[in-house]
Amino acid sequence: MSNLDKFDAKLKAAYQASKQDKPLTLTTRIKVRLVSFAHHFLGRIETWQWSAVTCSVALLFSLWYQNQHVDIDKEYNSSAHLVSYGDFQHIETHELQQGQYLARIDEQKKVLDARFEAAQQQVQEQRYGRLVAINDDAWLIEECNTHTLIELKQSLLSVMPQPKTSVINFNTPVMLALSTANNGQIIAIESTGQNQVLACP
Amino acid sequence: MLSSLKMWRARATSNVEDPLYEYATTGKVKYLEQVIERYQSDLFHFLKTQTQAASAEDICQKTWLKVIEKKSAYRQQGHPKAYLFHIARNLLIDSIRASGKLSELTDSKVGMTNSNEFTKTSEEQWLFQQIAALPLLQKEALSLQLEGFSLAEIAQIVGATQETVKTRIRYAKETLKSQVGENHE
Repeated sequence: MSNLDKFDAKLKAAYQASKQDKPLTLTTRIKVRLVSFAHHFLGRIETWQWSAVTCSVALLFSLWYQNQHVDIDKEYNSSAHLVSYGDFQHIETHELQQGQYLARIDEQKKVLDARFEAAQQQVQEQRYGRLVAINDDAWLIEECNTHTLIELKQSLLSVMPQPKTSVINFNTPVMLALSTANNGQIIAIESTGQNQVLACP
Repeated sequence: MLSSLKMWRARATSNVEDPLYEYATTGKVKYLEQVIERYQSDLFHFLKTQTQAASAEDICQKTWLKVIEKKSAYRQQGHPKAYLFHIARNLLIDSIRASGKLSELTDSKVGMTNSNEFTKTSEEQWLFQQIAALPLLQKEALSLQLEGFSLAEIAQIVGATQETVKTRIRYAKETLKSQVGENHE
Protein backbone atom coordinates (compact mmCIF):
# COMPACT_ATOMS: atom_id res chain seq x y z
CA MET A 1 0.00 0.00 0.00
CA SER A 2 1.43 3.42 -1.02
CA ASN A 3 1.85 6.26 1.44
CA LEU A 4 -1.09 8.08 -0.15
CA ASP A 5 -3.39 5.11 0.27
CA LYS A 6 -2.23 4.70 3.87
CA PHE A 7 -2.98 8.31 4.61
CA ASP A 8 -6.43 8.03 3.00
CA ALA A 9 -7.12 4.95 5.09
CA LYS A 10 -6.07 6.85 8.23
CA LEU A 11 -8.38 9.71 7.37
CA LYS A 12 -11.26 7.35 6.70
CA ALA A 13 -10.63 5.49 9.95
CA ALA A 14 -10.53 8.77 11.88
CA TYR A 15 -13.78 9.92 10.27
CA GLN A 16 -15.57 6.61 10.91
CA ALA A 17 -14.22 6.35 14.47
CA SER A 18 -15.62 9.78 15.21
CA LYS A 19 -18.98 8.66 13.84
CA GLN A 20 -18.95 5.62 16.12
CA ASP A 21 -17.77 7.60 19.15
CA LYS A 22 -20.48 10.21 18.99
CA PRO A 23 -23.66 8.62 17.65
CA LEU A 24 -27.01 10.34 17.74
CA THR A 25 -28.59 10.30 21.17
CA LEU A 26 -31.79 8.35 21.67
CA THR A 27 -33.64 11.56 22.47
CA THR A 28 -32.56 13.11 19.21
CA ARG A 29 -33.53 10.00 17.27
CA ILE A 30 -37.00 9.96 18.82
CA LYS A 31 -37.42 13.70 18.33
CA VAL A 32 -36.45 13.50 14.66
CA ARG A 33 -38.95 10.70 14.07
CA LEU A 34 -41.77 12.38 15.94
CA VAL A 35 -41.33 15.67 14.14
CA SER A 36 -40.98 13.95 10.79
CA PHE A 37 -44.01 11.74 11.24
CA ALA A 38 -46.10 14.65 12.47
CA HIS A 39 -45.05 16.61 9.41
CA HIS A 40 -45.77 13.63 7.20
CA PHE A 41 -49.37 13.33 8.41
CA LEU A 42 -50.32 16.91 9.25
CA GLY A 43 -48.34 18.49 6.45
CA ARG A 44 -50.69 16.87 3.97
CA ILE A 45 -53.52 19.12 5.02
CA GLU A 46 -52.97 22.15 2.86
CA THR A 47 -54.02 25.65 3.87
CA TRP A 48 -56.96 25.70 1.47
CA GLN A 49 -58.22 22.46 3.00
CA TRP A 50 -58.11 23.98 6.48
CA SER A 51 -60.02 26.98 5.12
CA ALA A 52 -62.63 24.75 3.49
CA VAL A 53 -63.20 22.80 6.69
CA THR A 54 -63.49 25.98 8.75
CA CYS A 55 -65.96 27.54 6.32
CA SER A 56 -68.05 24.36 6.25
CA VAL A 57 -68.28 24.26 10.03
CA ALA A 58 -69.24 27.93 10.12
CA LEU A 59 -71.93 27.34 7.46
CA LEU A 60 -73.37 24.36 9.32
CA PHE A 61 -73.47 26.32 12.55
CA SER A 62 -75.18 29.20 10.79
CA LEU A 63 -77.87 26.89 9.34
CA TRP A 64 -78.41 25.23 12.70
CA TYR A 65 -78.71 28.59 14.41
CA GLN A 66 -81.26 29.81 11.85
CA ASN A 67 -83.39 26.72 12.41
CA GLN A 68 -83.30 27.32 16.12
CA HIS A 69 -84.46 30.87 15.52
CA VAL A 70 -87.40 29.75 13.37
CA ASP A 71 -88.55 27.34 16.07
CA ILE A 72 -88.48 30.08 18.66
CA ASP A 73 -90.55 32.28 16.35
CA LYS A 74 -93.15 29.56 15.92
CA GLU A 75 -93.41 29.09 19.62
CA TYR A 76 -93.71 32.80 20.16
CA ASN A 77 -96.50 33.13 17.57
CA SER A 78 -98.46 30.24 18.99
CA SER A 79 -98.50 31.86 22.40
CA ALA A 80 -100.38 34.78 20.88
CA HIS A 81 -103.62 32.73 20.88
CA LEU A 82 -106.26 33.56 23.42
CA VAL A 83 -106.25 30.05 24.82
CA SER A 84 -102.86 28.42 24.87
CA TYR A 85 -102.58 24.65 25.08
CA GLY A 86 -99.22 25.16 26.77
CA ASP A 87 -100.89 26.72 29.79
CA PHE A 88 -102.42 23.37 30.77
CA GLN A 89 -100.82 20.30 32.21
CA HIS A 90 -103.39 17.97 30.64
CA ILE A 91 -105.28 18.21 27.40
CA GLU A 92 -108.17 15.85 26.79
CA THR A 93 -110.11 15.58 23.57
CA HIS A 94 -113.53 13.89 23.64
CA GLU A 95 -115.35 13.13 20.43
CA LEU A 96 -117.47 10.62 18.61
CA GLN A 97 -116.01 9.00 15.55
CA GLN A 98 -118.38 6.76 13.61
CA GLY A 99 -120.49 6.34 16.68
CA GLN A 100 -117.50 5.44 18.85
CA TYR A 101 -116.71 7.58 21.86
CA LEU A 102 -113.04 8.57 21.77
CA ALA A 103 -111.12 10.33 24.45
CA ARG A 104 -107.53 11.26 23.73
CA ILE A 105 -105.24 12.41 26.42
CA ASP A 106 -101.95 13.97 25.49
CA GLU A 107 -99.50 11.07 25.84
CA GLN A 108 -96.54 13.13 26.98
CA LYS A 109 -98.53 14.79 29.71
CA LYS A 110 -99.93 11.49 30.70
CA VAL A 111 -96.48 9.97 31.19
CA LEU A 112 -95.06 12.96 33.01
CA ASP A 113 -97.91 13.41 35.45
CA ALA A 114 -97.41 11.25 38.49
CA ARG A 115 -100.81 12.21 39.75
CA PHE A 116 -102.63 10.57 36.91
CA GLU A 117 -104.42 8.08 39.04
CA ALA A 118 -105.76 10.77 41.34
CA ALA A 119 -107.06 12.67 38.35
CA GLN A 120 -108.71 9.54 37.01
CA GLN A 121 -110.53 9.07 40.27
CA GLN A 122 -111.71 12.63 40.04
CA VAL A 123 -113.02 12.05 36.55
CA GLN A 124 -115.52 9.57 37.92
CA GLU A 125 -117.01 12.21 40.17
CA GLN A 126 -118.79 15.36 39.18
CA ARG A 127 -116.47 17.70 37.34
CA TYR A 128 -116.72 21.47 37.20
CA GLY A 129 -115.19 23.82 34.77
CA ARG A 130 -115.33 27.25 33.25
CA LEU A 131 -116.28 27.62 29.62
CA VAL A 132 -113.47 29.60 28.04
CA ALA A 133 -114.21 29.40 24.34
CA ILE A 134 -116.63 28.05 21.80
CA ASN A 135 -115.08 27.20 18.45
CA ASP A 136 -116.78 25.99 15.32
CA ASP A 137 -116.18 22.38 16.20
CA ALA A 138 -115.59 22.26 19.95
CA TRP A 139 -116.15 23.77 23.37
CA LEU A 140 -113.07 24.50 25.47
CA ILE A 141 -113.63 24.09 29.18
CA GLU A 142 -111.03 24.86 31.82
CA GLU A 143 -111.61 22.34 34.59
CA CYS A 144 -111.50 23.58 38.14
CA ASN A 145 -108.34 23.00 40.20
CA THR A 146 -106.76 20.50 37.83
CA HIS A 147 -105.12 22.67 35.15
CA THR A 148 -106.90 20.59 32.56
CA LEU A 149 -108.37 21.89 29.33
CA ILE A 150 -111.32 19.80 28.24
CA GLU A 151 -112.12 20.03 24.57
CA LEU A 152 -115.59 18.74 23.76
CA LYS A 153 -116.09 18.17 20.08
CA GLN A 154 -119.37 18.97 18.36
CA SER A 155 -119.82 15.31 17.53
CA LEU A 156 -120.26 14.64 21.24
CA LEU A 157 -122.02 17.88 22.09
CA SER A 158 -124.70 17.18 19.55
CA VAL A 159 -125.82 14.04 21.36
CA MET A 160 -125.73 15.19 24.95
CA PRO A 161 -127.81 17.62 27.05
CA GLN A 162 -126.17 20.99 27.18
CA PRO A 163 -127.02 24.64 27.81
CA LYS A 164 -128.01 26.67 24.79
CA THR A 165 -125.18 28.79 23.50
CA SER A 166 -127.57 31.65 22.80
CA VAL A 167 -128.04 32.24 26.53
CA ILE A 168 -124.34 32.17 27.37
CA ASN A 169 -122.87 35.53 28.24
CA PHE A 170 -119.06 35.60 28.29
CA ASN A 171 -118.99 38.89 30.26
CA THR A 172 -119.34 36.80 33.41
CA PRO A 173 -117.68 33.43 34.04
CA VAL A 174 -119.75 30.54 32.69
CA MET A 175 -119.41 27.64 35.11
CA LEU A 176 -120.41 24.21 33.87
CA ALA A 177 -120.97 20.91 35.63
CA LEU A 178 -119.91 17.87 33.66
CA SER A 179 -121.69 14.65 34.44
CA THR A 180 -119.58 11.59 33.93
CA ALA A 181 -120.26 7.92 33.70
CA ASN A 182 -118.34 5.34 35.75
CA ASN A 183 -115.86 4.83 32.96
CA GLY A 184 -115.03 8.57 32.82
CA GLN A 185 -117.05 9.39 29.73
CA ILE A 186 -118.75 12.79 29.84
CA ILE A 187 -122.44 12.26 29.32
CA ALA A 188 -124.02 15.64 30.06
CA ILE A 189 -123.23 19.29 30.58
CA GLU A 190 -125.26 21.42 32.93
CA SER A 191 -125.01 25.07 33.58
CA THR A 192 -124.53 25.76 37.27
CA GLY A 193 -126.29 29.05 36.80
CA GLN A 194 -124.55 32.17 35.73
CA ASN A 195 -125.96 34.12 38.65
CA GLN A 196 -125.37 31.47 41.31
CA VAL A 197 -121.86 30.05 41.02
CA LEU A 198 -119.11 32.23 39.60
CA ALA A 199 -116.04 30.40 40.82
CA CYS A 200 -114.82 26.87 41.12
CA PRO A 201 -116.31 25.05 44.06
CA MET B 1 -46.29 -12.38 21.89
CA LEU B 2 -42.70 -11.16 21.69
CA SER B 3 -42.04 -13.19 18.57
CA SER B 4 -45.19 -11.79 16.93
CA LEU B 5 -44.02 -8.30 17.71
CA LYS B 6 -40.62 -9.08 16.27
CA MET B 7 -42.22 -10.46 13.11
CA TRP B 8 -44.44 -7.43 12.79
CA ARG B 9 -41.44 -5.17 13.28
CA ALA B 10 -39.45 -7.14 10.72
CA ARG B 11 -42.26 -6.88 8.19
CA ALA B 12 -42.64 -3.17 8.84
CA THR B 13 -38.95 -2.49 8.42
CA SER B 14 -38.16 -4.98 5.67
CA ASN B 15 -35.54 -3.15 3.68
CA VAL B 16 -36.14 -2.20 0.10
CA GLU B 17 -33.38 -1.13 -2.24
CA ASP B 18 -34.35 2.52 -2.40
CA PRO B 19 -36.82 3.37 0.39
CA LEU B 20 -36.72 7.02 -0.64
CA TYR B 21 -38.07 6.13 -4.07
CA GLU B 22 -40.72 3.91 -2.47
CA TYR B 23 -41.69 6.76 -0.17
CA ALA B 24 -41.83 9.20 -3.08
CA THR B 25 -44.10 6.91 -5.10
CA THR B 26 -46.31 5.39 -2.39
CA GLY B 27 -46.17 8.03 0.34
CA LYS B 28 -46.16 5.28 2.97
CA VAL B 29 -44.65 6.31 6.26
CA LYS B 30 -42.87 2.97 6.74
CA TYR B 31 -40.53 3.88 3.88
CA LEU B 32 -39.85 7.24 5.46
CA GLU B 33 -38.95 5.36 8.62
CA GLN B 34 -36.50 3.26 6.63
CA VAL B 35 -34.91 6.28 4.97
CA ILE B 36 -34.39 7.95 8.33
CA GLU B 37 -33.06 4.77 9.91
CA ARG B 38 -30.62 4.13 7.09
CA TYR B 39 -29.16 7.58 6.52
CA GLN B 40 -29.74 9.61 9.66
CA SER B 41 -26.48 8.69 11.34
CA ASP B 42 -24.28 9.47 8.31
CA LEU B 43 -26.14 12.67 7.60
CA PHE B 44 -25.86 13.92 11.15
CA HIS B 45 -22.16 13.11 11.34
CA PHE B 46 -21.46 14.89 8.07
CA LEU B 47 -23.31 17.98 9.27
CA LYS B 48 -21.61 17.85 12.66
CA THR B 49 -18.26 17.83 10.94
CA GLN B 50 -19.22 21.03 9.11
CA THR B 51 -20.87 22.98 11.94
CA GLN B 52 -21.84 23.00 15.62
CA ALA B 53 -23.70 19.98 16.98
CA ALA B 54 -26.89 21.94 17.78
CA SER B 55 -26.94 23.49 14.35
CA ALA B 56 -26.24 20.09 12.77
CA GLU B 57 -29.21 18.62 14.62
CA ASP B 58 -31.44 21.44 13.43
CA ILE B 59 -30.33 21.11 9.80
CA CYS B 60 -30.71 17.35 9.99
CA GLN B 61 -34.32 17.78 11.10
CA LYS B 62 -34.98 20.36 8.40
CA THR B 63 -33.56 17.96 5.83
CA TRP B 64 -36.18 15.34 6.70
CA LEU B 65 -38.94 17.90 6.60
CA LYS B 66 -37.73 19.00 3.18
CA VAL B 67 -37.68 15.38 2.02
CA ILE B 68 -41.30 14.99 3.14
CA GLU B 69 -42.40 18.21 1.49
CA LYS B 70 -40.59 17.61 -1.77
CA LYS B 71 -40.91 13.85 -1.97
CA SER B 72 -42.59 13.99 -5.34
CA ALA B 73 -39.52 15.80 -6.72
CA TYR B 74 -37.27 12.82 -6.06
CA ARG B 75 -36.30 10.80 -9.09
CA GLN B 76 -34.12 7.71 -9.10
CA GLN B 77 -31.17 9.43 -10.78
CA GLY B 78 -28.24 8.42 -8.65
CA HIS B 79 -27.86 7.38 -5.06
CA PRO B 80 -30.61 8.45 -2.63
CA LYS B 81 -27.92 9.25 -0.09
CA ALA B 82 -26.43 11.80 -2.51
CA TYR B 83 -29.88 13.37 -2.91
CA LEU B 84 -30.25 13.68 0.88
CA PHE B 85 -26.77 15.12 1.31
CA HIS B 86 -27.46 17.61 -1.46
CA ILE B 87 -30.53 18.87 0.40
CA ALA B 88 -28.64 18.96 3.69
CA ARG B 89 -25.73 20.79 2.14
CA ASN B 90 -28.02 23.48 0.69
CA LEU B 91 -29.67 23.92 4.07
CA LEU B 92 -26.22 24.15 5.67
CA ILE B 93 -25.17 26.92 3.28
CA ASP B 94 -28.47 28.74 3.93
CA SER B 95 -27.86 28.44 7.65
CA ILE B 96 -24.34 29.82 7.37
CA ARG B 97 -25.57 32.71 5.23
CA ALA B 98 -28.40 33.46 7.65
CA SER B 99 -26.02 33.50 10.58
CA GLY B 100 -23.83 36.03 8.78
CA LYS B 101 -20.73 33.82 8.85
CA LEU B 102 -20.10 34.13 5.14
CA SER B 103 -16.37 34.15 5.78
CA GLU B 104 -16.62 30.42 6.52
CA LEU B 105 -17.48 29.86 2.89
CA THR B 106 -14.55 31.79 1.48
CA ASP B 107 -11.89 31.92 4.15
CA SER B 108 -9.04 29.64 3.19
CA LYS B 109 -7.21 29.96 6.48
CA VAL B 110 -6.85 26.73 8.37
CA GLY B 111 -7.78 26.85 12.04
CA MET B 112 -5.72 23.98 13.31
CA THR B 113 -6.15 22.83 16.85
CA ASN B 114 -3.37 22.96 19.37
CA SER B 115 -0.83 20.35 18.44
CA ASN B 116 -0.24 19.58 22.11
CA GLU B 117 -3.62 17.90 22.17
CA PHE B 118 -2.12 15.14 20.08
CA THR B 119 -0.53 13.74 23.20
CA LYS B 120 -3.74 13.84 25.16
CA THR B 121 -6.11 12.25 22.69
CA SER B 122 -5.78 9.33 20.35
CA GLU B 123 -4.33 9.89 16.90
CA GLU B 124 -7.72 9.24 15.26
CA GLN B 125 -9.44 11.81 17.39
CA TRP B 126 -6.71 14.33 16.76
CA LEU B 127 -6.89 13.69 13.02
CA PHE B 128 -10.63 14.19 13.02
CA GLN B 129 -10.19 17.46 14.86
CA GLN B 130 -7.81 18.56 12.10
CA ILE B 131 -10.42 17.63 9.47
CA ALA B 132 -13.07 19.60 11.34
CA ALA B 133 -10.76 22.60 11.42
CA LEU B 134 -10.31 22.75 7.63
CA PRO B 135 -11.96 25.53 5.59
CA LEU B 136 -15.59 24.66 4.91
CA LEU B 137 -15.40 23.94 1.18
CA GLN B 138 -12.35 21.70 1.56
CA LYS B 139 -13.80 20.08 4.63
CA GLU B 140 -17.13 19.25 3.01
CA ALA B 141 -15.46 17.82 -0.11
CA LEU B 142 -13.15 15.66 1.99
CA SER B 143 -15.94 14.60 4.37
CA LEU B 144 -18.10 13.53 1.46
CA GLN B 145 -15.27 11.49 0.04
CA LEU B 146 -14.68 9.86 3.42
CA GLU B 147 -18.41 9.21 3.53
CA GLY B 148 -17.96 7.09 0.42
CA PHE B 149 -19.19 9.32 -2.38
CA SER B 150 -17.50 9.33 -5.78
CA LEU B 151 -16.09 12.53 -7.29
CA ALA B 152 -19.09 12.79 -9.60
CA GLU B 153 -21.51 12.46 -6.69
CA ILE B 154 -19.61 15.02 -4.61
CA ALA B 155 -19.66 17.41 -7.56
CA GLN B 156 -23.42 16.93 -7.82
CA ILE B 157 -23.94 17.46 -4.09
CA VAL B 158 -21.88 20.63 -3.77
CA GLY B 159 -22.82 22.00 -7.20
CA ALA B 160 -19.29 22.30 -8.51
CA THR B 161 -17.23 20.66 -11.25
CA GLN B 162 -15.33 17.47 -10.58
CA GLU B 163 -12.05 19.30 -11.15
CA THR B 164 -12.91 21.86 -8.49
CA VAL B 165 -13.85 19.11 -6.07
CA LYS B 166 -10.65 17.24 -6.80
CA THR B 167 -8.62 20.41 -6.13
CA ARG B 168 -10.40 21.05 -2.82
CA ILE B 169 -9.74 17.50 -1.68
CA ARG B 170 -6.10 17.72 -2.71
CA TYR B 171 -5.61 20.98 -0.79
CA ALA B 172 -7.33 19.47 2.24
CA LYS B 173 -5.14 16.40 2.25
CA GLU B 174 -1.96 18.41 1.73
CA THR B 175 -2.83 20.57 4.69
CA LEU B 176 -3.58 17.58 6.87
CA LYS B 177 -0.41 15.81 5.80
CA SER B 178 1.69 18.79 6.72
CA GLN B 179 -0.05 18.92 10.11
CA VAL B 180 0.60 15.25 10.70
CA GLY B 181 4.25 15.71 9.62
CA GLU B 182 4.68 18.60 12.05
CA ASN B 183 3.29 16.55 14.91
CA HIS B 184 5.47 13.57 14.19
CA GLU B 185 8.65 15.66 14.10
